[in-house]
Amino acid sequence: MMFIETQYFQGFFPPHELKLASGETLGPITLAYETYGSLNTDASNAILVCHALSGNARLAHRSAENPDQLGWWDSYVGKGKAIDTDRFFVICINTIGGCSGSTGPSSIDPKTQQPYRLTFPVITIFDMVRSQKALIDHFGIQQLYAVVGGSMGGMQALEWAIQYPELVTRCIPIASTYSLPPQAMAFDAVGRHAITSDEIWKKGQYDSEDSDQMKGLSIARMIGHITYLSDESLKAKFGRKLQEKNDYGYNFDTEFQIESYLKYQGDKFVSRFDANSYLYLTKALSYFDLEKSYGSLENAFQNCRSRFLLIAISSDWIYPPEQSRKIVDVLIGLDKEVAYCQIESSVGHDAFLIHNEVLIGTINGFLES
Amino acid sequence: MSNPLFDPQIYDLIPAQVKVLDLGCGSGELLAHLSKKKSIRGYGIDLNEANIQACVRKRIRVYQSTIESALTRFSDNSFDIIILSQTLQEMRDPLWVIEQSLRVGQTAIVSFPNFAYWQIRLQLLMGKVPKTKHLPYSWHDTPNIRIITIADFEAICQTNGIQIERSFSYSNFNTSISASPSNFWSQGAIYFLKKGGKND
Repeated sequence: MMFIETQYFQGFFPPHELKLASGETLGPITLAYETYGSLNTDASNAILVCHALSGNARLAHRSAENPDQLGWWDSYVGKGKAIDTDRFFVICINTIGGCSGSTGPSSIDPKTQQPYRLTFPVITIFDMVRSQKALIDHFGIQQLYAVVGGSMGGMQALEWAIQYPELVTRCIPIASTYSLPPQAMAFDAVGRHAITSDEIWKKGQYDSEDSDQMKGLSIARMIGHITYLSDESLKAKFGRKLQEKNDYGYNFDTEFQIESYLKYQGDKFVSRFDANSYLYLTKALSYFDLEKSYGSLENAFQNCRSRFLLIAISSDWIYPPEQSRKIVDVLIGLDKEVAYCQIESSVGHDAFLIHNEVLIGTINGFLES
Repeated sequence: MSNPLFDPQIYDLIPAQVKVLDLGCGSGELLAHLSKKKSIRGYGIDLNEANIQACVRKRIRVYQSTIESALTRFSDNSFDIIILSQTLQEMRDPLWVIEQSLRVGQTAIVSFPNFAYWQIRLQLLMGKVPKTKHLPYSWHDTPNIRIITIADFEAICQTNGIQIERSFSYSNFNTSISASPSNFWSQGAIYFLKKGGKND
């Protein structure tokens, strides 16, 4: 059994702090990352995989400390898989603002020696990408074979192709968008409201021993989780089935399987995720709007030199295929090299996290071409 | 069957480096061929996921979509050439597809099997739904939902002000190309179409 160790990179020491989109600065920054496979001598086989909202650097394999848990994209990354680690050097970096090793609101602010909490500056997808660039430079990588990511990771992949056109050879945004649609913003806003109205949250200054009691965060995760699935998948998985009893109890207990499942998902999430990180990361999603940032999508993609593969999920109603198709339209208008694939799946947004032969074949084919 | 558009007599008429949209591109053979021979900038539309994967593997720019939906998305004159290779007979509204093709592109190259071909007529006369080398399907499993003949196609172009710039026929026995398609002897036909009233 092979275990991959999480590694840590430190950079952006004063006075070279990262200048953020907000105008504020952040530094020093720690980036938690994992690598799989080996970098070849001319550093031409590196693939950066960007994780989604609740993801982390543990892309594949099992960790020594948690051997039961596979990395979040283990179905796609590994020996002989869609992203073959025998061939590619695969990097996954925990995003800034997160809570899985990289600098985020739960990290210690060196100025105060206290956790940042809400004094952490608001970050954007653009800021995430610019922080990641430092690690890519650290490896001496002049050209990324590909940047791949789903959902929030797809936003980062797009921003990578826009910001560093000469660096990104292939760009694969999956189940992603050029700007967060208002419906998704709405669900994220409700999630943030759930967190900020939780008494235990205490304006972000919650006691660390209370962190696994955060009902607000649990509710936020439940709401998020519903949006990542589909009506059809909920019907197939749970239907209207009761969890334990044979008939209704006529009370407010957790009775239905779907209720119990959501509660489980919420509780599980609270034990591993920081409520403040959730606020920061969902805010970064809400701020993501390439049309606003660059004036128009044409302007945004004009100088891109990547080959694009956009992938959408047919049943994804939170990041619907239309969002990806609009990017494709613009790229075709600009004569860019682009392929668009719509995965037929009833699973919803999260389909990209689950083993899917078409998705595997398409990604692999694109990387081979 | 080898695609008659692969014939140098046809693709030689396509200028080099033009922007091409292939509606119903299949596994991307034609686009790959044209890219090699004419350095075109080609995009393909197809719905079939195996075709999409085949295109991606070949580095063909491909857009998974229905032809109708894709056509509505492109603005006027986005492409130099639109190709409808053996797909028109599968369209619910072929005239709309041609008109949209001539909206988003300067020229449309259309090829289709001629249902008035003598062998087909003979089979109908015998009381059977025709099957030929180029039309191998039975009545119940054919994707070809529109019956096109050369005569009818030319008539509808005329009625709708669609200009036929060039035409070719291909025969049953080989894919040799001859101008001025015969409605009786042609296995199928190829047309270069332009918007009517314009000679650019």
